Amino acid sequence: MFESLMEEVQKLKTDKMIILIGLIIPVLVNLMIGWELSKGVIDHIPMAIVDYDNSKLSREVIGYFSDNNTFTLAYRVEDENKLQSLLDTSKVKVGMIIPKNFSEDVIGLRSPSILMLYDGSHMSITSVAKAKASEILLSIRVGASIKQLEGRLNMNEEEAYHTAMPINFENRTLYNPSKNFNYFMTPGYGTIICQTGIGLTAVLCIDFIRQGKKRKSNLGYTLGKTLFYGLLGSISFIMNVLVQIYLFKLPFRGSLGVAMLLSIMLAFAIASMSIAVSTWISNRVIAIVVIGLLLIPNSIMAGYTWPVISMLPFYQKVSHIIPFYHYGDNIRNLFLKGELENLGGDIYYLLFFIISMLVIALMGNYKYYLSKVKGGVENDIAS
Amino acid sequence: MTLLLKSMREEIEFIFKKVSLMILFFIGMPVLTLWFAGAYAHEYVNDIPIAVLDEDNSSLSRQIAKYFDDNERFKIEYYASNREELERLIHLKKANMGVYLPPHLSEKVLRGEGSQVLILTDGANVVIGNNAYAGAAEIIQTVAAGTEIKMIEAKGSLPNKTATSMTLPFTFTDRMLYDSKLTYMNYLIYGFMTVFFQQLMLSGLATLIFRNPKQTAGDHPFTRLMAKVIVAAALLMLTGSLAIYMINRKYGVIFAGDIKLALLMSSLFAVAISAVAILLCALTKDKIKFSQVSYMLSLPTFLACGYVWPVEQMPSLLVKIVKLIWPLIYFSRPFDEIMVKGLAFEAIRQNAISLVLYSIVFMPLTLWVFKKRFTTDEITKCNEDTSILIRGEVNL
Repeated sequence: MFESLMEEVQKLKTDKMIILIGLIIPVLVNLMIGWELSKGVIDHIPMAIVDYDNSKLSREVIGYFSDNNTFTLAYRVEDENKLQSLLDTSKVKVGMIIPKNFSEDVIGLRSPSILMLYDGSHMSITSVAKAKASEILLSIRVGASIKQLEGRLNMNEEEAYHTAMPINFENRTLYNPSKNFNYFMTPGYGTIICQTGIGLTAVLCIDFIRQGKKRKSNLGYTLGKTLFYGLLGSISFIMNVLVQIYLFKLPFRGSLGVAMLLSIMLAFAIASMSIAVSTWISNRVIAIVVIGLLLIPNSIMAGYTWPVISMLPFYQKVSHIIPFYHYGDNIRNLFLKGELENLGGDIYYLLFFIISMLVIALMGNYKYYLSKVKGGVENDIAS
Repeated sequence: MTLLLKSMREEIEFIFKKVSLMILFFIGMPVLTLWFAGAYAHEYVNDIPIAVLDEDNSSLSRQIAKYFDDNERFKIEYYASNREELERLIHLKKANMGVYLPPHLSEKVLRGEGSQVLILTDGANVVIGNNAYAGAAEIIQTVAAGTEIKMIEAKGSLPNKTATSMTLPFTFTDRMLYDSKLTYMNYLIYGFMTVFFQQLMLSGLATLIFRNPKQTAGDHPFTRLMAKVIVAAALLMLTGSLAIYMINRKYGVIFAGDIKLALLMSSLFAVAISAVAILLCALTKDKIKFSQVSYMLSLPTFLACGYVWPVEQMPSLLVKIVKLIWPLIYFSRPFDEIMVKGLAFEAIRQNAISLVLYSIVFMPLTLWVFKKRFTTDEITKCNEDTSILIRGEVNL
């Protein structure tokens, strides 16, 4: 085992790709993600307005939008066609049309309607814009309703308020009240690039000639490789967590020890899986393709962003097998909540996964030994 | 021209001899697209597990709870017995949202004192949190408006229509353009496809380049490289079109664009990304190293191309750097908007020009590096892979 481990340590001196792919690129990408998402929330969404009424009330409505940071009042246009054209060419993402006689109709209890147009092609912008616009318009509407009640039914302010708002609705968003994308995405995406780096280096580590010749030491040989890449991965993952906590100041409410434990377990899970792939696929390029396909889509397939509960049953089952499924939500919860609900279960799964992958790797090694290695490998490569 | 056609024929023959290349060029785009699209087959986040704490236990509070249970977006999994338990269920991820119906809710509403329903959402996953909040707001506002109308009717002895108009002095209607259902599938799938196209172009082109790098570098490099680029791009655009047809038929993904414009942008991007591929081939001189680097770049290039996180919200210096070094930023979002919004050429002209300029600047530079790197006496490692493998010296 020690000999196998030292082989990889020696490689560090000659093969710069291990450090580049396993450590340097992940750190750089982490820095980039943190920088890119540093703003965290979407604001100043370009908006255009058609005000057919041009009354005090319509100007008030517009004022509420222009005063709000979520929107930037980029255009005031005369008609709907121009507004549509601005939306079609992506110059604005939101449009508002205030109808003619809006103010008069409100006073006359004819319930006029404001039309909001959203660019549905860009969900992340549109969902923010829609939530904020609805909030603004609801507040204005309640205010208008209170005035009606005061004026028409001679209610006092408090009575009118409670009548207009019989059931008040208070929302409290726990753990990430500002719905900051940086807090939501960075912990997981930072990890995915680290695990890809470890996977792409570990998948090349098996020496087919040697593993066949020295069958007796196959277990030690495989463990040595797993230990090296598991440790390298642990360094990469832990650096990733530390960069997010100390450089990008993401709130971290959990235990750093637990984060490290999880990171080490995931690093070993990825290392053992990559080595298992490496033992079974002698063509290095194909092995890289396989490990890339297994690791890169993890943010989607393991339900880190799009929740597993919304996937088809088959995808749900597959997601539970993926090691990142047992890490992604946990590390984000350590950042945002501070506590994990099933840490033991996830650790046991990762341990089980590591052992399973080691068994598969040993079987791969054994297969080459049985097939009288040298000729077997040469034929394999030649084919 | 003859050399170009001859080289293209050679590349096609080579592709048909290699199973791995046939998989890459013919199956890669459709399989990856369908695989990813399958994850978003359910258009919305539904059946979100929620917990309810009903401290009122009146007909109104039970009605509110029932509205939540009947809504396809929610599924009541727990009834908590106190606030601590409600928050604990969210904390432990057993419920993604909590609905707190306070004591005397119904009495207070009837007495005209007003009451408050508290919604607690788990913001750790923004996607679930946003969906839960939107659904809850809709339900509570509907209940509140109905209650208000009844109260005004009773207090002012007014007809229903007047009471409704006083409750809703104005209304607002939302119209979602281009994707009326605002689904994650339509939002993301074309962006993913641009990354698949990028990655398959990089991998495919590298395999074709590493077939005969010295010959390519030594004799009419531009023509020979262009033959590889044209063949790779044409095949991937063809199978990409098939992939779009398949997701349109199977999942109803919006396809409202001008196919000629989509192909034009894809072609311009194919040339631009080829400059990167040639440069990486020249710098690594090794297909394995090339594969490692290109895979490592897939995630950061997608994250930085302005698809998931809009370009306007990114730091301006980062946008400048990305625009200078990686062309996906000119292609990913415009391609999606061509397909979903049906953008006209005028709207994406600037991006098209940027792709052309990128190629004009980078292609000669990468050609020069490529020629220099592959016409030296250094061992062309890519061709040595097999012998290295046999000698067991890979990466030692």
